[in-house]
Amino acid sequence: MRGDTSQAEPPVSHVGGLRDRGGGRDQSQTRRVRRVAIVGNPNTGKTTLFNRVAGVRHKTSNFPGTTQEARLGCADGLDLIDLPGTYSLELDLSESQICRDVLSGQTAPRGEPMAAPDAVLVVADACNLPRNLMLVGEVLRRRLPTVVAVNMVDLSRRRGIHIDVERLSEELGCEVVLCSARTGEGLDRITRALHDAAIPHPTPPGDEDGLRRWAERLYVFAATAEEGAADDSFTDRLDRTFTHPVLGTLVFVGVMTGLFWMIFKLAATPMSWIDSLFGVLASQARSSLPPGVLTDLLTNGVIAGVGATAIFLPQICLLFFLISLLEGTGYLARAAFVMDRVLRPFGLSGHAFVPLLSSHACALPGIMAARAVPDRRDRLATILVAPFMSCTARIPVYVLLTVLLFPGREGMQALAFTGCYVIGVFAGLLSSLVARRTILRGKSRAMAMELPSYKWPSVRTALMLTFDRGMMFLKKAGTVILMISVVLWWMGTYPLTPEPAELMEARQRVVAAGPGSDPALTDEVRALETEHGRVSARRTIQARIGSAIQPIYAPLGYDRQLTIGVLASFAAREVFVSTMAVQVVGSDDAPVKGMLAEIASAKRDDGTPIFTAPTSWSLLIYFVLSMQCLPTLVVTAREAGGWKWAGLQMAWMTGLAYLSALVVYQVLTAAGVS
Amino acid sequence: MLLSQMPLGSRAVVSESDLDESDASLLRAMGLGPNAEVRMCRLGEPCIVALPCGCDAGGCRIGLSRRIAERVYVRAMPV
Repeated sequence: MRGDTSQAEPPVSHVGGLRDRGGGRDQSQTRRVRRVAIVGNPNTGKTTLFNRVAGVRHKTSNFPGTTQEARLGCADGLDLIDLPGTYSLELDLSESQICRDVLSGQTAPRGEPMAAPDAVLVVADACNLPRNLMLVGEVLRRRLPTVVAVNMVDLSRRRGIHIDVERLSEELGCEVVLCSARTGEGLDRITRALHDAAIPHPTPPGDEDGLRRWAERLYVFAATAEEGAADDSFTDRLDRTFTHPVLGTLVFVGVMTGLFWMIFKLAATPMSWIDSLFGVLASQARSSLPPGVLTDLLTNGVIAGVGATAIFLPQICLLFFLISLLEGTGYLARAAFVMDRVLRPFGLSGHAFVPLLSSHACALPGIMAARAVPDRRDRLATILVAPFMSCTARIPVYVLLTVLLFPGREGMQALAFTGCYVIGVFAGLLSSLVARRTILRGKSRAMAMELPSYKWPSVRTALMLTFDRGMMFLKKAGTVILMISVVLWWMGTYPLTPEPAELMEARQRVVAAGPGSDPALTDEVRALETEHGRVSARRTIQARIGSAIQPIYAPLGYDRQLTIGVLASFAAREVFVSTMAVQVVGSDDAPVKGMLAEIASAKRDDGTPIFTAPTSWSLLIYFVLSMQCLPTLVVTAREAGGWKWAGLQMAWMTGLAYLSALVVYQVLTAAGVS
Repeated sequence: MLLSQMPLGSRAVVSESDLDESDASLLRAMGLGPNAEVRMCRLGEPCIVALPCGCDAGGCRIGLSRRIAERVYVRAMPV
């Protein structure tokens, strides 16, 4: 098999950044590496196949000047580029454009050489071969070394479809591999075939009708199907149920509530482990390092800041894992039609469902996914309201505040948490309605979408996605959030206030009497230390900035520390929790009892609790509605086509958040809620 | 006959559409072009059609909003 590569001797590829980071194998030193682009229709199992072949040795990148993602991996001397799924290379859609440009060498993912790939792997669905063969034909016309992977053969066999691989290979003029990414069947042959791939000799017809006839003839020639082998009545019934106006909506609400309930229930234990771990780390650092600025920086800046963010990793991982499983079942495509009925009256099409759902993970991919919304006005409305959807960066804030509002009542916490998501969605819909009646007048575009077959989801694919997103979150916690935590620690520590003589004398008396021998003296020292901490905190740079701006937020019930938390989280929302942790832990020498408990018991400068019920509700509403994410504004400006859209988004969201939080705080306070 | 008027469970062949070119080209790429055979799985909003794609055992399903289904013309197939 190996060796006959004379027809298309591949150039030595420049190896991408992945291999430099230890993703490759030693054999790459001595063997030519082929760059392989993977293309295919949506729902052909392309991602599962990529995950199976590349394993964990992959990274996510994007294309310069675009927001389309590509995944890069390597396996057996191959550099793999997983391109976005497309029905055709000729469509006027961004995913088609990317595939066209990559195959012609006009673009490449960041860090990859700008050259046409050495080979192309076309992934086709064995159950829907005629349509998939049209894309195969379009690729073959590009005259690049090609291999066709006919995926999901396990499913096609069960349906009575038999494919004569030799006939198909002969007609296509390239190697065809029958495989199942789900079971792993045939995958080893794909990498071997890619090493040997040569330029196919026959060229399919160039026009669309000719290509369709070619694909249909090829299918008849190379495949046979048993009559009546499949019974679609069960699928029909499921489709009617899941898209039913009432039943479908009930199922959707049930599925989403179950999803968020599971996230809360299952994440609780690992969250407490992480909380304890960082508590122990801080306590160990305090006891084993000499007192001083560096120890203070490590415990109150680095550990407190990163720990308060990393604690939410289990929830973020669970969200992605469960959404990926749900997507794998085929249900989400049906849910898009259910949502179309909900979205249409608000001037959005069902196409906006996926971008808006993605925005629940992060507004950035959500806004990027809005490129799939065909109509310009629909797309702009989707982009403008996407940040209203509660992203994972808000989860730490929601968890903190719902736990503070309903301590020990998991059911109420889950309800309040779901309520935040619902409020975000409604605010987004109403905002879209306002936009479509004013600045974006016009009809929204009708929806057409493939409904993938129902199947058991791939746990492996879900785990891989979870791993990717979890690592991205940790990377952020270890870089941006760490940096902000350190800056906040510095602003919250300096200028240092010298200890008063009274405190130093009391300490000396404790030492002279022997530690712990006089409880009254120990209490006196603690009281003096607390007072010193409060005085010091009021003199820091952070306190001065917070005090200057606090009057703006005072009607919302926020004190100096909360004002700083809100301001610091403009760069990234999740920074709020770490900011509060650094502020609270940094001004308190009490033993570490868990970061959440420390924040819950935080006091204002006057000694009253920071987190009263009206303040917590007001803060929760503020965080649900406000635009506090700099990268989102940048992407909005880029995707919507100008900074005026980003400015509008910022002004609308923040104004709405401020007014809503103001109303909530004032009403609850007037009602006597404490 | 319009696609949206097909009886449930019936079969037809797509003849033409008066959709704009971007919608029509996407439908063609998805397999719902002229001469494509369709089976009606769900009427109304959304309208769901199965495309046998050469054999009853395979193919795919496409969900269409009523506004699209009302602009695609089909020829009924004999039962």
